[in-house]
Amino acid sequence: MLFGRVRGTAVCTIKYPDLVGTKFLMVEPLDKDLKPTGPLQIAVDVVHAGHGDLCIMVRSREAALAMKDNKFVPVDLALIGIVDELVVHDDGKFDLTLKEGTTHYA
Amino acid sequence: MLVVQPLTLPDDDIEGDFVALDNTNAGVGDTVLVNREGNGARQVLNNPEACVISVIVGIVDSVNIQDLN
Repeated sequence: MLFGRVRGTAVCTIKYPDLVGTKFLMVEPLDKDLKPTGPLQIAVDVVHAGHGDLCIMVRSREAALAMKDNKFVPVDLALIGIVDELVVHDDGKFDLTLKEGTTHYA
Repeated sequence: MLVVQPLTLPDDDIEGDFVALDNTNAGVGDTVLVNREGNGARQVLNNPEACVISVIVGIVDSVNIQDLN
């Protein structure tokens, strides 16, 4: 799963029939420092997110499982949570490199 | 939910970080094992409709790496 920022909406009058009534939001994928990591994408919203909200998104088959009733739909990105609080420590605080030998992680 | 940063070998590119559901009471700073496959995530959570892809399934005590060359 990844972070996303809601940037806009998409309205589709003509769409796959089982997607009638679903809310499409334009989202920008972010990394842990809330910097953009890729192009804008369209996600299905099931948590009533609004413009500017920081959300958790799930991709792939599990995005379709986020739909309420019919889970057999062509959806591959869904918003599943709105972030209330985010605490991320600096990279410099951790050693993220694996070295030769035995490393113990207490 | 925890923000997870994959570890790297010294010369490798840094992989992107992601968010994972914690199933192990891990804390910040812990080195963890993460399953990033959806079907496995549903098995671990015992919920066939869980909309989760990444699940922390273990906390690593130690890692032994030999011959990085």
